[in-house]
Amino acid sequence: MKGIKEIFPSLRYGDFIIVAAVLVISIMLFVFSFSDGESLVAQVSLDGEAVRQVRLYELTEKESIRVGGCEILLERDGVTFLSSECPDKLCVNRGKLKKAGDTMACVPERVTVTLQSEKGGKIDAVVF
Amino acid sequence: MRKKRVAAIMTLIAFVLAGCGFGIYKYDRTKRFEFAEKNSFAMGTIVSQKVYAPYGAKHAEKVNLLIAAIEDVISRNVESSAVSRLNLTGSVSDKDTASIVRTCTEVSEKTGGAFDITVGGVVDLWKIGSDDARVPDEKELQQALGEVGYKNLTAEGTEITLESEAKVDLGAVGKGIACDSAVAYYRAIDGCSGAIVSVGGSIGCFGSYNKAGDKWKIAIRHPRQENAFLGVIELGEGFVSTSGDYEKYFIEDSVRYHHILDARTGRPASSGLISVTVVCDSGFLSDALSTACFILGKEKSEPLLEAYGASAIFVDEDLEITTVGEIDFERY
Repeated sequence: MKGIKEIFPSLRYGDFIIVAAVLVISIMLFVFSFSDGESLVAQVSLDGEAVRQVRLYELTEKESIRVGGCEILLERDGVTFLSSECPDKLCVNRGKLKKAGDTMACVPERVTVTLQSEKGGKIDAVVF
Repeated sequence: MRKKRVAAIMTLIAFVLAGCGFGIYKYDRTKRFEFAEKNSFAMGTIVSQKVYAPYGAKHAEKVNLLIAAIEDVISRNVESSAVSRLNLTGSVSDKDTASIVRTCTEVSEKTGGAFDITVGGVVDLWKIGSDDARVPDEKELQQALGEVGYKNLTAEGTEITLESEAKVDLGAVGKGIACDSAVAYYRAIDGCSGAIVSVGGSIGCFGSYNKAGDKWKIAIRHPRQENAFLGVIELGEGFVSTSGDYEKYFIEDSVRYHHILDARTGRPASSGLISVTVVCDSGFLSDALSTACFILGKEKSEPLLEAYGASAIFVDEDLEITTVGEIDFERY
């Protein structure tokens, strides 16, 4: 502590408590930001090219977007294919994609949706 | 004096926080490799790749072309493919397809014909996975089943001969074969530290995504809960395939008719399992074995898995999970 006192002679010992308190709060905020939920980010691609990247946790209301022949609903907790011009409707029947690391696609319309966690994905692939 | 004190406090905090930030930045930089991620389409399904290598995106592009080239040889949906020509004329000459046929025949023998790639004619009757899916008429089912039989299919050298009206369908192994090619490609890339590929849900992985050499985390889709995971497998290098009754099916009169047909009965397999995941050192075999195990049931699968040095996770109708062989699996 003596060293720092020499660099900052105007500091009193009480001030170090303030510095320590700020640091503790900073660390707590940092840890909290890494443990709070999934912070989902959806990437919507057409024919392999990304067309939209949306931070779902920032959405204040549901958003519906049209990509290729598909209508896609973006919500805070996941993404759903609302409708598609494809014949098999496998994409619509998949329901809501909610887990980071998961992907769903409308193969005939060549549309994919991938969910990632902004805090680093825990899953590298999904087998099915 | 007071201003000086506040300035000193602020400066000290700024220094410490900047130091923390730089440390985290450095940690992240040294931890991760150069990385590219790509989703594309081939084999009538989605191909997802994560490639940790210089120019990863270009390599992912090439892998996609490689998979499309495999499709051109082994898909029944491609009119000019070796398999289409075999089904049409009863014989074809193709080195790669002949090798695939030999391995499939070996699996057929080991499963007593439960796994059989000559089941294509029966697959066509059920049409599961399309809007026209239906329970076929018993007479036409028996007629198509009469043609099925791996013993009618022979591969000598590069020559393949099919001595019945059966149709060869490599749908049960095509995605795994694509994973094999992808991983062989990643392995040959100069400077590739790791890569993972999913071809329609069959997985191949190589190397690692970080310098610590951590294993890949592969989630298994829950067979009954929508878009949920059953658990996670940790795998360094290898291949993973799942066969389940939940991916392609239709329900008629409260009966679930899924797409994994038992070649001995011509009907959806009913071994009491709803999902089987196989881990193996070959994508081709992990695909073939997951189908074979799903048809055979857990007990009869054990010697088969042992013969190929594979391990598996079985899920039965009561959602009971059991594992066979060494597998790093954590249930959710």
